[in-house]
Amino acid sequence: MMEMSSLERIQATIDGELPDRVPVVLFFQSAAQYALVRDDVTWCEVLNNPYKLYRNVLQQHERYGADNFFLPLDFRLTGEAFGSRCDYSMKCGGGMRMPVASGFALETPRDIDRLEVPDPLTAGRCPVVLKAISDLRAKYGSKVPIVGFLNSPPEAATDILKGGYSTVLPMMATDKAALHRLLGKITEFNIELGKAMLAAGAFTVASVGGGFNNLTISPDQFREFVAPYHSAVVKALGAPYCFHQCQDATPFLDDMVGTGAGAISFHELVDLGMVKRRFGAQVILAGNVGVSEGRSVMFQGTPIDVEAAVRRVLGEGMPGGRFWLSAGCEVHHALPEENIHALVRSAKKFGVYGGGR
Amino acid sequence: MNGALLDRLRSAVIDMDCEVATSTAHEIVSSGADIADAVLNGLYAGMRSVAERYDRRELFLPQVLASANAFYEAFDVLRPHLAIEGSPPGSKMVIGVGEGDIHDIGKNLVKVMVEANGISCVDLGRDVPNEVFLARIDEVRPDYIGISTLMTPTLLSVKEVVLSLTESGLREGRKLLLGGGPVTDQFTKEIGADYHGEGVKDTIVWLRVQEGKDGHT
Repeated sequence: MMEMSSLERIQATIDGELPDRVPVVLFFQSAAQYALVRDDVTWCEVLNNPYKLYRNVLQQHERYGADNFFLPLDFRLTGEAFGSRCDYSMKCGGGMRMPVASGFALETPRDIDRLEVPDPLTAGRCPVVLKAISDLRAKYGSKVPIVGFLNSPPEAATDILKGGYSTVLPMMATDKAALHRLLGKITEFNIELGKAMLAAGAFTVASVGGGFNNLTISPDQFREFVAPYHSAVVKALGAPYCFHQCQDATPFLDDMVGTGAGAISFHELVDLGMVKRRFGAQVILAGNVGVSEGRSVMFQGTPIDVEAAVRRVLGEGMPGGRFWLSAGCEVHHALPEENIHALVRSAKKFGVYGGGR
Repeated sequence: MNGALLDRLRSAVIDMDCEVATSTAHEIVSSGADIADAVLNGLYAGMRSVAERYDRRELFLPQVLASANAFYEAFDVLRPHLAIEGSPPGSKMVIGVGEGDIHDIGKNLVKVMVEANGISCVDLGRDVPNEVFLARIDEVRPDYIGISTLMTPTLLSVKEVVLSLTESGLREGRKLLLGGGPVTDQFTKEIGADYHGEGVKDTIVWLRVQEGKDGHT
């Protein structure tokens, strides 16, 4: 029996078939900087230079061996495309600095109607991302799926509107119509950027809901201000779409699945066994080895602990297929690298189905 | 104090109505009513009601922050008149999000409720460098220091602040409280902080006990 390529493995899960083994799909954010440090480049350089971005994504894949190429979670991309400004000032370990919004495209919600939807082929750093995808596709695309990243519309709104979450959250209670108009514009942009990513060679796109979670908004608010905008992107793209929700997504699971996303990804706080029973036949599940909590196994554990955790997660997620092994959230820079290796190694060791070409 | 004015102020906060909250505050000032009574039994009472509903998960942050906007707009009208009346200075808190983290929703919510309980807050914002914490704590000389983070890697920044406070002597005589998703009781104990707030309610109850008040929010 031949070993599948990463792309074949992922495609099998999408087709509802059993692959040779469980795919490992990791979403790198600040852990991508291990490669930056080795190359002696900064976040500013890598996010503004297509070759350096390409090289960074490639190094993550080659070093850790996950089954996807993942463009780093670039949360500032959309805000910058709409005209917000970023400074590379936020400490993220090892003397590195990630971008943070420092100037906003909109001063107040009153300005929303004058906001123009930018062209993703030319706006901000989008051309850098598209070129990196295109270069990855040209060299490796037939073997490894490339995952592009689209910021969730409400999250992007906090980068566009001055005041961030402190402005956007109250609008969900007192200025709903204006917020919907802003989210509509961001979604319009996401659809076009997603199409451009797919045209450049991305296999799928992923999106992350971070600050709008069970600790901050109600299921009704998620249903009104989050889910429909993901659903619109899913419908327009017609390609696999992975929707990750931070914190405890349990109250939102029905709505996440209802978006039509091909895969949903969730935090370690979510009961994977329960999700598997309820949704395992409908949608691919991606998760959820502990990475975010203060005592999470990927952060505080040893490689042996990680192996045990992977076995537990595989035991719940693997039966019947339609499962990607992943961390509960982004793979961040405070994780010991040996734990990232342990996660991938353990999946290859214990995640075998025995299918294949 | 005219009971109808107090009711209207309290309701404006609960109903997230900035315009009514502000106009009522102006009316209270011009009527010569007891400003401290208006703050305590109008604004603070309204915000406490909102917080209780938030604790019961009847409300979520959009409503709470919208109520907080109404609270602050009215408070900004009333506050100068409180000072003129020479009320004794209360306790102070310096609060901020650790360096490397831009998630400030939880911190903002705690700040509102801390102020609604009569403790003045100096808000350093988010992604606050260690040296800014030290400089502002040295300047403000607060009774409480609040540090939060939503991100696991930023726990290291929080630890650095606490170590620096201890080394500089600024930790002494101050209560240090931590909040945010990845913070645990064990982490709090390890770095020598005084309290880990699981949520806003717990934090406020703890603060009220420290202040010699009842343990209600």
